[in-house]
Amino acid sequence: MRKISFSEATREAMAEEMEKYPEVFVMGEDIARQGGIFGQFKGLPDEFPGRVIDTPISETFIVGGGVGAALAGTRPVVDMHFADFIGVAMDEVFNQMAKVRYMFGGQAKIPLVLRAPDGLAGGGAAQHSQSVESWFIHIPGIQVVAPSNPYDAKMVLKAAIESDDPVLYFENKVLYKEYAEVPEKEDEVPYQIGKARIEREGKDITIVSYSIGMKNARAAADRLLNDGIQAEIIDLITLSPWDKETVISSVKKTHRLCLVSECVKQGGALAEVAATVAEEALEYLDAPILRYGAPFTPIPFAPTLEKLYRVYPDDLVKGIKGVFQGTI
Amino acid sequence: MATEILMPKLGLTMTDGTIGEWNKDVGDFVKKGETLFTVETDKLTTDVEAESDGVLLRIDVPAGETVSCKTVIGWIGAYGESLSETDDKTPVSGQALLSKSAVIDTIQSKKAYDRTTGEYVLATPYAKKIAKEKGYDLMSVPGTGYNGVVVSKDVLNFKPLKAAPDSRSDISVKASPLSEKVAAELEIDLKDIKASHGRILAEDLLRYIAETHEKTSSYEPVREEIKPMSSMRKAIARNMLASVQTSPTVTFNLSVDMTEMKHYREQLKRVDINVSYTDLIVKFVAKALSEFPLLNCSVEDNKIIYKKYINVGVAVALENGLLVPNIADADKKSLPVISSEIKELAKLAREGKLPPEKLKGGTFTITNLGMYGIESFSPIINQPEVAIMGVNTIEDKVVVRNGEICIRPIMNLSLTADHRVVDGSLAAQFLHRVKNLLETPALILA
Repeated sequence: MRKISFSEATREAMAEEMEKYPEVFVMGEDIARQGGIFGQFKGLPDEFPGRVIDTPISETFIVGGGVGAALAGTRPVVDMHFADFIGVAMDEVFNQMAKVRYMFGGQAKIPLVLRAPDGLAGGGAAQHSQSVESWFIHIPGIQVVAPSNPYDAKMVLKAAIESDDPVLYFENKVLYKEYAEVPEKEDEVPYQIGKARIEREGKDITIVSYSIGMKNARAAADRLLNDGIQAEIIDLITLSPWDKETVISSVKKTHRLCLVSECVKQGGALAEVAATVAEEALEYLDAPILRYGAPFTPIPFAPTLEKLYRVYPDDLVKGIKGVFQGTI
Repeated sequence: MATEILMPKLGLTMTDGTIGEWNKDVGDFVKKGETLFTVETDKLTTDVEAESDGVLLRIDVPAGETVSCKTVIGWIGAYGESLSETDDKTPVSGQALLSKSAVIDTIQSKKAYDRTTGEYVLATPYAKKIAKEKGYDLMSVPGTGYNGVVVSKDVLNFKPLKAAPDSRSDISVKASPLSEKVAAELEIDLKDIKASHGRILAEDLLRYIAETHEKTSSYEPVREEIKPMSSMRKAIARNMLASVQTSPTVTFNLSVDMTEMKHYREQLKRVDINVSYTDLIVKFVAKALSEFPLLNCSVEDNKIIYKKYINVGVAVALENGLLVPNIADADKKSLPVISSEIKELAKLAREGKLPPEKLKGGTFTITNLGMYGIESFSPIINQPEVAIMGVNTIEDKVVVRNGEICIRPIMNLSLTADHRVVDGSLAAQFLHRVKNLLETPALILA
């Protein structure tokens, strides 16, 4: 099967959706002339003249304009450049984009995709490296997705564009450069927003993650095999609404749960998963829920400190082996 | 307040050690002085005793893992005490500091409360669920999980004691009133008794008592007891077996007239130099070894490794085993130095404080059983050396000197040599040279 990069996969999704739906257009900073700072819009301006639009540096307008365009019947995809900048347009995001359909009693819809590149990319420091997904899973009215590989990146973006309700699409900056197999268009399986995927089956512990956290999950699961621990890995893909059934039935099988993400651990997106499992499947747990995330501190600029800030597979391996003490 | 257990530094050159085994499990009560774990270095396995009373709260370094000296390998504290992160004084990397095991965090708040007994049982929710389904009392299920918590495995493996069935109450057995009364007094279950006439009579009871008495009296007392080997015993067993399997050996015996050596020793004593025969033999053997390089070598594959140093090992008997520390460069050391070194090494060995490096690098071994009156034996080579010399008792014997019968202090030497490199004639020449030196102490200067 052909291998393409994550950013190429998102570009393909855009091209295919723009081809299919004339009402799809893109706007954001530096996307038409530059092709996006991560190359994710490369070639689109020539392919779809007039439908890839450079905006002024005004997130308020980018999101607000997108909401207006959606109300007027288009399917806008708007780009935030860095997820860290969403804060500028916060009212447009959580009071307008998320609430308009409800406030209008369902007479209007907002089929808008808000693309937000996030994550530690090395030296991005406190204002250009954050993972802010957990802010938005607290807001009813926004679907939040965060794919972990090129194939998902493509299929999730296509599903987001086709959704009649707003989707916040987090794309990790480090994952952009990752290559993986992506089927040809005719062999694609559409993604349904809200579905998690069991990426690897195992019987001993469930590791739940998403986006770049999946790299830690996979590496830890590989190493744990040396100790005879078979981890089941669940890629959540959609953070809101998240796939409770898949996670809970896995925990009922493995009796242990480990959560890992790159975002700050306190109040992190997976805290909701931990809380729900404790609420609905507590009696199936045979170990404390393990949770890995970033420390409660701004992201440091110094490379040495940024290194300390990260979660590593070793952390998971150590913790997981800890709860198996006396068993393995 | 929990105290840390450190990887001990057993010698100057010891940089790291491997945990051989933990003799206690997490949650076990530990008494000061009890063996807590064993440390393996390449030559020696040392039992390490607990430095304080308490409960083994946590094992940070499991058996088989190697860590540097002074690393925290576990924690001892009070019963029921839990470890907080602030107790952790280990110099951890920043990374570890940030990502700190989430387990400990979580465990702090994971105390289960058993309302019926008013005592805490640390158990996972899943363990509780299974225990409830099986009708087990969690209080009686031992916890083996992280921090001694009862996990599902513990409940699944738990075998509850069966309640003794009360036969008298639920099953009616026909019996005469007399037999019933006697059976009750003797606590005999009437169900076990066969009735000869429809119901149990006194005579059936008496027959039953006679039979069972016969059976019980035919039981033999326990004549065997099985105990695990100590780690030192295991090491000795391993090394001795390996030696026998490695070296084809021949043992040579030769008697030595110790008259001159006795005088020599007394002369030294007069000037306040007190040395033992072992000290003297180490000194003289070291000289002989310098003249016989093949007895100071080792064999590896098809190669002979000649050693340019002479490190004479001295076997030290301990209460439960044996250690062979060596005197490095014994050929270059003076008698008083050798003597004080041997005393010090023997003392350290008996106290279990021998630095591991003192057990390494020996090139020849001397083992003295003279104090037990032994006249001859065939010692086993301390690998990878190629020879070992047994020293026997010194005994006044009738001998012939210059055609006359006289009484002389005679001592036997028993040399075991590895025939792969030490042929009979060479071994004989060496042993003869040792005899020669011991009989003419002045030669030490020659």
